[in-house]
Amino acid sequence: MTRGGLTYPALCVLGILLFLALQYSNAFYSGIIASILIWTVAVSGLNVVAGLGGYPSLMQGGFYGIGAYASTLALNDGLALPLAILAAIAVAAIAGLLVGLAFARTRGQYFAIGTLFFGVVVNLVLTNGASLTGGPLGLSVPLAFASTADLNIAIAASAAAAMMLVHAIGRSRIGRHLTALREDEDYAEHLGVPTGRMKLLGFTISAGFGGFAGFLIAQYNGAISPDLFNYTVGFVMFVALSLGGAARLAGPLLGSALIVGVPDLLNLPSGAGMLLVGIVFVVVIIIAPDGLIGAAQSLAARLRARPAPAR
Amino acid sequence: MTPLLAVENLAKRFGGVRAVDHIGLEIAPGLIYGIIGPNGSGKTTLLGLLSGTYRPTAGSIRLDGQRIDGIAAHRTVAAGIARTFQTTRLFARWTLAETLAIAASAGRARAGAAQAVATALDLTGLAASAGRPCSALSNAEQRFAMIAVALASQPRLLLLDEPAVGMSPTEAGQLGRAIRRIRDTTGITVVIVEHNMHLMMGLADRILAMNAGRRLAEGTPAEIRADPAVIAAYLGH
Repeated sequence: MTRGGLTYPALCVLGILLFLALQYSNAFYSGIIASILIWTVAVSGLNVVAGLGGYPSLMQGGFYGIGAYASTLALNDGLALPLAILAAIAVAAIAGLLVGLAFARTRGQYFAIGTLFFGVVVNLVLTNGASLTGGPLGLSVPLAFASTADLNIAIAASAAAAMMLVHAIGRSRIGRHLTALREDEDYAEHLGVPTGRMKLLGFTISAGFGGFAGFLIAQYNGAISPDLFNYTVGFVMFVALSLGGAARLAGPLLGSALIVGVPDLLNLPSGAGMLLVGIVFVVVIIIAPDGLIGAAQSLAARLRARPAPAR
Repeated sequence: MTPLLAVENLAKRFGGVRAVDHIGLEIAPGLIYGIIGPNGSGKTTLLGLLSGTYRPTAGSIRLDGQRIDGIAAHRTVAAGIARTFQTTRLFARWTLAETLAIAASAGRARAGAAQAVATALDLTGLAASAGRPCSALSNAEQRFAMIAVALASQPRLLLLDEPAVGMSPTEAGQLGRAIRRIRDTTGITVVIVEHNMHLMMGLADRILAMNAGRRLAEGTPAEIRADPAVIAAYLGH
């Protein structure tokens, strides 16, 4: 994130390339790319609370589900597309705020365990609230985009915009305060950082991104059901962020590509895919705790620092 | 003169332990005010109550006439109180300049943040180390750095919790001179908890002696040194 001047144009170009890849690949690859990009939106959001703020939230999958259902229900009620998007973001963000209040005093592994259960609760509500959510069978989604091209544009632009937004947040006052909180929350509080308020803000922003990603996956899938938003989704999103590189701009994209893309590309059965992801995660966390981007950066720094070999 | 800090009947209980047991004190602006006492006498808890780290069980704290007891720590910073800690606390991976910048921008007067950072570095003699990561500073530098960070928020009242921990006599001497320089050039009121009696007696204008959460004696260093109750608490009966 150091060469800041090029970041936004580079992300715009990336967005266009991603759209072209989505639009002109065959259905198999296009589907994988779409999943990766939608995950990138959700994991970029997670990057605010977990990457910048250092709070290991395992519940981003819950907000993802909330956004998918909220937007679908809004469209079913005949609301226009922008209002459906607003519903996805707002309902998820409010849920994020409330959960943030509930978990305000927990940290570390206790916080992680608590958030994991939030994911379970969301799934239980989606499964059992049949009158609203359609129960285990879910809902079919009214498609709000005129064409696949429009949807592809929306997905590619959302992934690029999500990374840009999180980059901007990271450089803002909120981002600096969140990173201070990550380093030492009590000390940050004594430097004048309103840590409680910043944490809630971080939760709310992250959840809003999750909700928006949920809207995208609902539109892309055309149908939603609780099993898409199993509590493990939030856990795997956290794994994707850690794998790619927390608090790093491209971490969510790289992590999502590895988590979502590789098992699909290898055409592994879902159990084997998760097993592979688990093994890779353990190895990466042991040898590169800052994720793959962090490892690449420190390797590059080491190579630069080493004097040129004598010839 | 109206006191900058007025504490009345202040108490803090942790379960059954009366860490601070109905303390009252007044500190005039511009003073260097020492707090001494044996381990466990409630000095650090008293500082924690002043800085919003703890909520008092009873009593009141007024800064310049305004009640500040029970408010969150970040709001005491906004009110003009900054503190350091007994154990070194800094953002280890950040440079000193980054840490100072966040304290300056989150603190009382956001305007003049750059000037506040420069002044803080100047007063603590750390200008040459600003670009280094906090973890790369020596122990003494880290102790000074914590003071610099506290100063960056432009406080009216600076609370120092055993700033000389781990310092050599030479470094402690430098610390004493730095604290005096801070008070003399900025007019900031300083409250200092310290076990180094040599440093304390040479530095403080007034001293509060505590024992078991209570006020034992209060006065000038000479008065405290001659006080029979203080002598008894320190040397045994």
